[in-house]
Amino acid sequence: MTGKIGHLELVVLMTLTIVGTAFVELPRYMAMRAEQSGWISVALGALGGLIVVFVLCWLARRFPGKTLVGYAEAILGRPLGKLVSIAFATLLLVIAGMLIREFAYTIIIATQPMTPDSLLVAVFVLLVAYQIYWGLEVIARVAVTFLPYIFISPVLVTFGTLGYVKLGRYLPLLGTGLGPVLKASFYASMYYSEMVLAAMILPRVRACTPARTRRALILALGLAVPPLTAVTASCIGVFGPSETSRLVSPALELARLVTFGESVQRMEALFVVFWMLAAMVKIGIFTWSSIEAIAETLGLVNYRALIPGGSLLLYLLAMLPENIWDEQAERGAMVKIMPYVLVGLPLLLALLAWVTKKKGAEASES
Amino acid sequence: MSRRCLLRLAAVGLICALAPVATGCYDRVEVEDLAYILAVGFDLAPTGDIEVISQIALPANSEGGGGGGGGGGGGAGGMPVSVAVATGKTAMEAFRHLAQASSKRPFWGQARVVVFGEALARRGLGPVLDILSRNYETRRLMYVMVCPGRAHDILTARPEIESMPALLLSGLEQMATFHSLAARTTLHDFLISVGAAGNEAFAARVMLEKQMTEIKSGTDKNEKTQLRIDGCGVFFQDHLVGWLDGPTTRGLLWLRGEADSGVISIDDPASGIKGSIEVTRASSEIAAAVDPNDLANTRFTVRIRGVGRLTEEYCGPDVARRETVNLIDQLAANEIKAEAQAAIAALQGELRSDVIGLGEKVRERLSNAAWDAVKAKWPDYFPKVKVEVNVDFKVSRHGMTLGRLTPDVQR
Repeated sequence: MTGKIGHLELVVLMTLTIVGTAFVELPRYMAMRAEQSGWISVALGALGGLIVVFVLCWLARRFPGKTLVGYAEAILGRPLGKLVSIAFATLLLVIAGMLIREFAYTIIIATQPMTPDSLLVAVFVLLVAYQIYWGLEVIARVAVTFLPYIFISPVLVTFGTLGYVKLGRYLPLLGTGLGPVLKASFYASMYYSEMVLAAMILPRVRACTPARTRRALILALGLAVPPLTAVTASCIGVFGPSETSRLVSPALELARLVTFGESVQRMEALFVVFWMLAAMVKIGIFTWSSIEAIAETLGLVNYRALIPGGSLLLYLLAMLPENIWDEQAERGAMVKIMPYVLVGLPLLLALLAWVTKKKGAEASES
Repeated sequence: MSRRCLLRLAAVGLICALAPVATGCYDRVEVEDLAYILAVGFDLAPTGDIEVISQIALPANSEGGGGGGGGGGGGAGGMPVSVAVATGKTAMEAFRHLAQASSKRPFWGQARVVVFGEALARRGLGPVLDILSRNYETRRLMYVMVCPGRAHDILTARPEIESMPALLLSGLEQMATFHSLAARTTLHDFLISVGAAGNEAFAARVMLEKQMTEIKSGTDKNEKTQLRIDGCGVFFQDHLVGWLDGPTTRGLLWLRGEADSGVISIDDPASGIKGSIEVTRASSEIAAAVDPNDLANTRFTVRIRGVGRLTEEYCGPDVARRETVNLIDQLAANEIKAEAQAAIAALQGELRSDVIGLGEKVRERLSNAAWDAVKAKWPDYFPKVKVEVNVDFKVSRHGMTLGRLTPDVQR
C-alpha cells in the first residue's frame, strides 16, 4: 500500500462525503424551509460547493503538495496556523459525532427500537476506527466498491414511488417566494461544502495536477446533485411538503412504499444497508481528516497513535446529546457555524494569501 | 511467556468474547413469538374510552399450516384468526391491555386494514391516527375503512367467502377498481388528506349484511353474514361528517380522476338504446379561475375524459353505425356527468366538505402566504363555489359482436 489514491477514488470519496447521510434527513429540512420548492434548493445549493471547489483548486495550485493545515501554517504563520488547524480538526470530529448519532437514531427509530443508542454508536465508532487504522486508501477502495449499490438506492426509491407522486404537490413553483428557497439552498450548500475535506486529501492523490483536480471535484459535485435532488423531489411529490417535514426520515418512508408486485415488498432494510455503507464512508472521511489534521499539526509521522483517543472522543461526542431533542438543538447550533467554517475558512485563507502574496514552494512535488 | 504467545491468547479471548455477538441481531424476535395483526379496528367505548379490536392470525388453524401431528387437526373447525378486544383511555393503553391476554408480541407489519367505527370517527380520529403513523411497523399502504355502527361487528364477522376476514376486506378494496362504487383509501392518502386543508379525507364504507337462508332439514334458519364495501365516509379534518352512497362515490371518483373502471347503464327512451358500457380508463382535469379577492367567486371547470367498451346493447338502433356509437358516447357522458354533479351537490350541500380537492387547486394558484391566509376560511367558501363538469366519453371497443342479436320478428 502506498497510501495514495487515484482520481477516480477522489471523485467517489467526495461524492459520498456529500451524499453520505443526506438521504436520511435532507428532504425533511428542505421541506421545512422551502416547502414544495425544497428540491430546487437542493439543486441550487450545489453552487456553494462550486465556490469551495474553486477556492480549493486555487489554494492547491498556489501551495502544491500541502494540506489545509499546511496552507494555514504558510499563510497565518506557525502558531496561529496550528491553532486554526486544531480548531478545524475539532469541528470535524464534532460533526462526525453528530452524524453518527443522527444516523444511529434513524436506524433505531425505523428498524430496531429496542436497541440502546450506545450500542449502535459504539459499533459505528469501532468500524470508523478500523477504517482509519487502515488509512485513506482503504476507505477509498471501500467507497469505490460500494458506490454502485449506494447509487442504486435513490434510483429504485425514485422510480419505485413514481406512481404515488402527485404533480400538484410541486405547485405553485417558488410559492414561498425566492427568499425561503435561497435560505434553504444555503442550508443545502452545507452538505456540498463538506467537499472542503478534499483539502486534506489532495496531496495524497496520485499524479495530481490542478486541472485534473478541478475536473475531479466538479465531477464529484455533479454526481452528488442528481440523487439528492431526486430523492427530495420524490419525497415532496409523494408526501407533500407538510407530511415530509413531519416525518423523521421521509426517504425511509419512501423506501417503505416501494413494492414490486406482491412478492417484493419491505425493501427498506436493503436501503438502510446501502445508506449505512454511505454513512460509514462519510463519517470515516470526516474522522480521518480530523485525526490526520491533528497529527500533521503536532508533527506526528503516523497518526495511528491518535486512533484510540480519537475514537473514545468520537464516542463521547456522539453520546453527548441525551435524546433526539438535544441532538436537534446541537444540529441547530452547528448549522449556524458550519457553512462559515467549511466555506469561510478556505475562502479566508485564499484571500489572505492573495493579499499578502504568499506562495508555497514553487518546486513542483507531485 | 513470549509476546507472540500473549498475542495469541488475546486473539483467542477476543474471538470468544465476540462469538456470542455473531449469533444474531440484538433485537431478534422469533417468528413464533409474534402475534401477526391482520386487521385492526377502533371504536368508541360507551365510557368514552377507545376500544381496540385486533384480528390476529392463528397460522396453526389455517389451511396447510400446522398439521404437523399426523392429520389430527382437521375437524376442529377453528377460525384461522382470533379476535381480541380491549379498551383504554388512549389507543396505546388499549393495546397494552390487549397484551394482558396474549403470550405473544403484537406485530403490525402484516396489518392490511384498519376499520373505524362510526361513533369514534364522528368524534375525531386524530389520537388514533397518530399512533398508526408513529408506529414504525405499520405500513402506510394499509386500507382505511369506516363502518356504520361498530368496527367490532365487522371484525368479528364470519364471512363464508374467505377464511380470514382481514384478507377479505383487503381483497374487497382491491376489487373496488372493477366497479369504483367504493373508495379505495390507503393510510398514506388518508394521513395526507387529514393534514391538508382544501383536500379532505374519505374512506371506504364497509357494511355487514345478514342474509337468511332456509335450511331444508328444519324450520330454523341459518344466518349468513357477508361483508360489503359500498360508498364512502366523508370526513372533515379528522372527523366523519357523513356518507356517500355507491354511485355518488363514483361521481366523486370521476371528479378526482381516481375511478379506474365501472359499469354505466344506459336507458334512453328517445332513441330506444338500452345497454351498458364498461369504463376502462378515466381521468380528470380541474381548472380553476381563482378570484383572489373573493374565493367564493372561484369558478372550477372539471373536465372528465373516459374511454370504455360496449358490453351490452339490446334494443336500440344498430351499433355498427357510427351515429349510434356517437349517441351512446353522449348518453354515457351524461350518466357520468349526472353522478359527478350528484357528488358535488351532496358535498357542497349537507356534508360541506371539500373531498374533491378543489381547495388544493386554489392553493396551487396562490402563493404559499396567500393560501395560508385564506385556508382556514376555505370550508366556508367551498359550498359557494361554482363547479362546471364537462365529460368527454368515447366507446372504443365493442366486444365479440358488432350488430346486436335481433329476434327475426318478420318471419
